[in-house]
Amino acid sequence: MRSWNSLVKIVPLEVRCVVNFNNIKTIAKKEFMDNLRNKWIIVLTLIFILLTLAMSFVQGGGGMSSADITVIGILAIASMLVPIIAIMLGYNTITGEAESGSLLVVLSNPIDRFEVLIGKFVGLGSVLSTSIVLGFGLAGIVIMAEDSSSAVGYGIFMVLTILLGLIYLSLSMCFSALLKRSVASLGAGIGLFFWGMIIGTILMGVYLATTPGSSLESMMTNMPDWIITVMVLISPADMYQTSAMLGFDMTSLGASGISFSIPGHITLARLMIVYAVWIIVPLVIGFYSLKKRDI
Amino acid sequence: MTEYIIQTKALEKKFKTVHAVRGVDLNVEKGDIYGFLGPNGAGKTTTIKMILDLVHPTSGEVFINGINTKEQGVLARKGIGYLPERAQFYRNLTAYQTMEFFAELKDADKAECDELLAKVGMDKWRDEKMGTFSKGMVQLVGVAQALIGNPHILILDEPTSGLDPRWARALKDIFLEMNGNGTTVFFSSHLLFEVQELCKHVAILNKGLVVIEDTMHRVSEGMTGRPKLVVRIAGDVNQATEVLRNGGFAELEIHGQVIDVFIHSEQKAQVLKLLALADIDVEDFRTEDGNLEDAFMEFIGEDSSPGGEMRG
Repeated sequence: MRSWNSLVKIVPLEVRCVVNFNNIKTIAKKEFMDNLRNKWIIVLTLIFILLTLAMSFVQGGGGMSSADITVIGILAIASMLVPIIAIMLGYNTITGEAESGSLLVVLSNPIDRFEVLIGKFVGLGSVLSTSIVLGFGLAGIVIMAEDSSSAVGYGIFMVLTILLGLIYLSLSMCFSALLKRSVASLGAGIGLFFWGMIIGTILMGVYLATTPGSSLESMMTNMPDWIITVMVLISPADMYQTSAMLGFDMTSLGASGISFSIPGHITLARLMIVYAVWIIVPLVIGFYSLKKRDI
Repeated sequence: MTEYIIQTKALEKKFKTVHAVRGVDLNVEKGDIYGFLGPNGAGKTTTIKMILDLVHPTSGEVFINGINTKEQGVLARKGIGYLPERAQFYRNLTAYQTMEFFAELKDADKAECDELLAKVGMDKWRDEKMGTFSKGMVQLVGVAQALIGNPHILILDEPTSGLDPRWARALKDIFLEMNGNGTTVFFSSHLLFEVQELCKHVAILNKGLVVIEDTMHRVSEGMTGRPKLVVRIAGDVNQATEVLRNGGFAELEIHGQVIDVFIHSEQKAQVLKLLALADIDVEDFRTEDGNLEDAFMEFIGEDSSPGGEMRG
């Protein structure tokens, strides 16, 4: 793998002495080969491809621009399916291997636990990215054939989706490192999925219930910026949808009397920092937990 | 001074509810075949995992080749082949891909992978997925994996469990062959005969403590003890014991109507004659030649206090 070696050369020599990149590569390759043939991942990817393809053929109707409809449709599909794929890949990565005993064999080698965790993240992240690229790619070809003006936005959209997946992967791997049993980490993964799906809605519901207002429409339209900000910060799914809108230069959405606009201080660049925090912090917690863990 | 390739010092592990290992000192010499013997639940697996830094000791230290595993774990684990108890591998990888993965982790020559699969008779299933294998087949790939890179230490946790006798035999031959080439072999077992058959040194673990660590030869000798004559008395046991004591047989164990008389092998007839002369009816008798397996069972049984003196 020449590309890997040239990639490694970017890393300062001092770091290369402490971290063995060949170990990371070996673990990543193993995870990739093992999980690319995982039945569940194959099935979910096929569903993803079929739904996005269906959505790309829907374009052309309605008052909104055709690309927008497709984007919103794919957004809805991806924010549902990508977390499921990521959690399926990540939840069992430490607990399952500790229970089967294979992690014992891996860690009896001259390898640091840090390298195992990063290798797994890279390998599983690659499987996830493959799945997302396939899901977006075929639909992308159909869309671009009609209208290639949104190519850049679509590319950004795909990258944002991969980042969303990496957040869920990082979180579910963190739970897998923290918890003892496979069943518990699966439970945590399911909890994580629902939390991501409904936390924004709950927050909005609390706001609507506690704030006096004339009508639902006006309240939604006049929702204070801080609510949106908090939602974007605590819910990766909401952040993903917001950043995708920004990626397509949409700052407001309007439908059936409700209009929703993104506060000016939320920019794509700032959201990138939030993405990074969501990805890095769980991995760090997962690493310390794995380091202390009795396998 | 003897060079120890694996050394543990006052190794201890407390889990939330179990005090699994209570201060274990092991000294494994280079080039040895070392048996780690003990009943299930004695703390063998936990000790092995602590040697490999998979389980972090509550206290105590481990040295491999003189390297403290806590300080330089990655370095200490170079050149170790390990097979845990009942391990499973990756269901979607083939036998060969599994071997290749571990060869990469060990930075070993991949050409070995096929040779080693053939050595454990798994070359026929080289390209089949591990998920389709029986437990025994997975175990054999596990052994092949442990042999990658010609390790200088082999650590095997109950390696023959789950294998049919033919393969158990074949594995023992492989371990002997590895040892002949200079590999130190450390393996755990709850079966005495297995350890007795292979090992130069043995440590017996019971309830988290090393009961004894010595050469296999001396341990066998010590545990064998003296033979005994077991007699079942029809009438008064007290009278019988008195007769025996007066006849010079002071070492007796009484269990109801049964008396164990510790003797030298040529004294059997003398005991029976003594009882007959005193008109004591002997319902039944048999001799026991200080069977090692029995001694071992007694040794690790509920009654024996760990660290206690050995009989004989």
